[in-house]
Amino acid sequence: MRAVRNGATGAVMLVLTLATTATAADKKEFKYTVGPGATVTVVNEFGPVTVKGASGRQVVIVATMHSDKVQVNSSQAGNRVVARTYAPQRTSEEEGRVEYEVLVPQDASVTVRSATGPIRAERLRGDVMLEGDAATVEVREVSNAHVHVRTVNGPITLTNISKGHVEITSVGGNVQLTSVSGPKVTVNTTKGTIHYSGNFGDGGDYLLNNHSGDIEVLLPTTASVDITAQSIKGSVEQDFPLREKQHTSFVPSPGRSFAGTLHDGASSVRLRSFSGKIRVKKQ
Amino acid sequence: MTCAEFQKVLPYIIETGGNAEEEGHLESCPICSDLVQDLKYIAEQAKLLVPMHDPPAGVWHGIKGALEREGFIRPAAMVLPLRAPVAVFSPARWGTAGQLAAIAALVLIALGIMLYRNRDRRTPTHATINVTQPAVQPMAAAPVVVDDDDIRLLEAVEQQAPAMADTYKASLESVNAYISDARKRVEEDPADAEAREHLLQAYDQKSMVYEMALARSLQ
Amino acid sequence: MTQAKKQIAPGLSEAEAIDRAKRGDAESFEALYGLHKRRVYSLCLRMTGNTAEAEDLTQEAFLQLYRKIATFRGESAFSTWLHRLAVNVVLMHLRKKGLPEVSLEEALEPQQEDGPKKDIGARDNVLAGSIDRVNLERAIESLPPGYRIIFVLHDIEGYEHNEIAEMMGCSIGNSKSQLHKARMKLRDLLKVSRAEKATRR
Repeated sequence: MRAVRNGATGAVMLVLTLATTATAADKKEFKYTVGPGATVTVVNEFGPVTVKGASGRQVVIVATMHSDKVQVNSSQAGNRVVARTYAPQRTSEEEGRVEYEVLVPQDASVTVRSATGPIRAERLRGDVMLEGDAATVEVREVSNAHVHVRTVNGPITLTNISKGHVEITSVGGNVQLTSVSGPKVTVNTTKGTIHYSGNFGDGGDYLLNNHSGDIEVLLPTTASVDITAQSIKGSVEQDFPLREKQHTSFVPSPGRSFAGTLHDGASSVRLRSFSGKIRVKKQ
Repeated sequence: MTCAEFQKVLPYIIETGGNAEEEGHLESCPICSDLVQDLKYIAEQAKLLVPMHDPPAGVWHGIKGALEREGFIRPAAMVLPLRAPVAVFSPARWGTAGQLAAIAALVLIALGIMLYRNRDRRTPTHATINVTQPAVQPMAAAPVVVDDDDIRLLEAVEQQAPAMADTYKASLESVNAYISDARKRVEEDPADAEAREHLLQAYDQKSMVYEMALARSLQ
Repeated sequence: MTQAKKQIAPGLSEAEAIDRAKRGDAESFEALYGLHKRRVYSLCLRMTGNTAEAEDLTQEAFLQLYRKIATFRGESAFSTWLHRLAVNVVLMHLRKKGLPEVSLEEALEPQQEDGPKKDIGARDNVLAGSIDRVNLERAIESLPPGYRIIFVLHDIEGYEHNEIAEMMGCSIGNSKSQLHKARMKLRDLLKVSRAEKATRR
C-alpha cells in the first residue's frame, strides 16, 4: 500500500485488527498521531470506556477483549480516529465485553457510545459527547468545551465543568452536578433526580427540568442568580431571602412556585418539575 | 505479480492506489487494466444516478393519518407558539385589543384541546408489555404505555439487544406517563405555559428513547 | 441555496417549514414531504429492490422524521439528517428480515467468486461509454441484497466505508470486499446485457 502520513493532511491509514486465538484476555493497542482539534470516537456495546486527556499529540487506545467472539476495529482518517467493537454474531454481555482505556490530546473532541459502560471522561478541552443506555457516565475537569450526555437510565455525574454548553438528558438516570457552570446548562430527566451543588456561575442560563424526580440545589449565599422554581403537582422550598422580581407577570404560588433574585442576578436559573419536590438549600 | 494476486488485493487498493509492484502490474497488464477501468466506470455512472422514483399518493395519506392519530399535526390556525409568553394571558397588561387577542388565543387552544379529546384516549398506568405478542390495537380505556410503535420498537430492541429490553421498556413507560400527565394538564388549563413546556420536553424525551433504541438495534 | 432561503412553497422556506412543523403545522409537514419524498423513496427502492417494501419504509422514515423533528437543531443540513434516518430505517427493516451478514471469513481471506477468474487470460471490451442509466438501474435491482445495499450506500449515496461499517456492523475491510463484489457482479450483468443487445440488432 502507498505510504501513509499521519496528522491533519487528509491521508488515510487503516488498521484492521482481528481477534486472535482465544485467550483469557486479549489486549490490543493502537497509537495514532493527530493534529489539533482531532476527533476520537469509541463505540463499545459492553464494557467500560475511559477517556483521559493527556499532553502531546498521540491518541492511544488499549482494548482488552475477553473472548474470541469480538474484534476491535480501529482506523484513522486524517484527524479522525474511530475505534469500534464488532461482533459478527450476537454475544452475551460477558462474551462481548471489551474494556477501553483511551488517552487523547486535551483538545480532542471525544464521542463515546456504550450500552452498559461505565463511561468516564476527564481532563479535556474538546467537546465531549457521551451516550449510554444503561451506562453510568462520569465527566470531570472539562473546560471551554461542550458536554453532551444522554442515557436511557444510566446515572450521570459531572464535576468541575466550566465555560461550555452542557446538555444532559436521561429518562431514568439520576444526575449529579458539582461545580458545573457555563453559558448554558440544561438538564432534562423524566424520573431521575437532579442534584446541583455550585454557584450557577459564569452569568449563564441554567435549566433543570424533570417530570417526577426531585430537584435539589445546594447554593452558596454568595451566588448571583435570578431564580424561578415551579412544580405543577409537587412542592417547592428554599432557604434564601430572595429579592422579589420586578416587572414580571410571574405570580408565585406558595409551596408550588417561587421566583426572586440573589445579589445581581447574574445567572438565570429555572428549576422545573411536574410533580417532584424542588429544594434550594444553603451550601 | 500475477493477475490473481493483483485482483485479490484490488478491493482494498482500487480507491487509494497500490504499492509500486501493484501499480506496475496495472500498467503492464491489459486485462487487469480493463477490469479496473470498468469498475471505476461503474462507480462513476452510479454517482450520476439521480433519485427518479416518486412514491404513490397513498404513502402520504398513510403518513398524514398516522400523524393525526398521534396528535403531531393540527390545522395551521391551531399552531401553538413554541414558547407562549405568559403575558399573552394577562389581559390587564395588554388593554382591550390585547384582551380580545388573548381570548381568541384561548379559544384556539381550547379547540386544539378538543381535537385531543376526540382521539383515542389512553389513561396512564404502568401496563406490562409482553414483547413477544403481536401488536395490540389501542382501546379507549387501555393503559397508555403501549402503542403499536412502542411495541415494534421494543420488539426490535428485544431482537437485537435483549440485554437492553427491560431498560427500554421501563423508559417508555416513564416517558409515556410524562406525556400523559402533561397532556392532561394542558387540557385542564390551556393557559398553563409551564404544562405546555413539560409536554414538549416529554415528547423530546420519548424522541430520544426512539433514537437511541434505533441506533442500538442497528449495532 | 442555503437551507434558510430555499423556497419549498410560495412564501415558505425550508427552515420556516421545519420550524412550523415542530409546532404541528400540517401544511409544513406536507411541504417537507413533497421536497424530500423522491430521494427517500428512491433510496428505499434501490436498497430493497421491492416497491411494496419501499413504500412502507418511506412512510416509516417520514413518520420517524416527524416524531423527532423537535430534536433537529440544525447542526447538519436537514436533508442529510433525513437521509441518514431513512438509511437507518431501511437497515433496521432488512436486519429484522435477516439481512445477509458479512462473514468474518471473508475479512480473513477475501474470495472473489466470479468475474476475475474468468477474466484472467481473456480480454474483453471495456464498458466505458456503453452503459445507459436504465440498464444500470436494472442491473442494480438484480444484485443480491447484501451487495446491493453496500453498492447503493457507497457508490450512489456517497457514504464512506467507515460510515457503512458502522451502520452495517461490519468491518471496513468487509465493506470494501462487498462493494468490490457488487461492482464485479454489475460488470458481468452489464456485459451480458450489452451482448444481448448486440445480438438483437
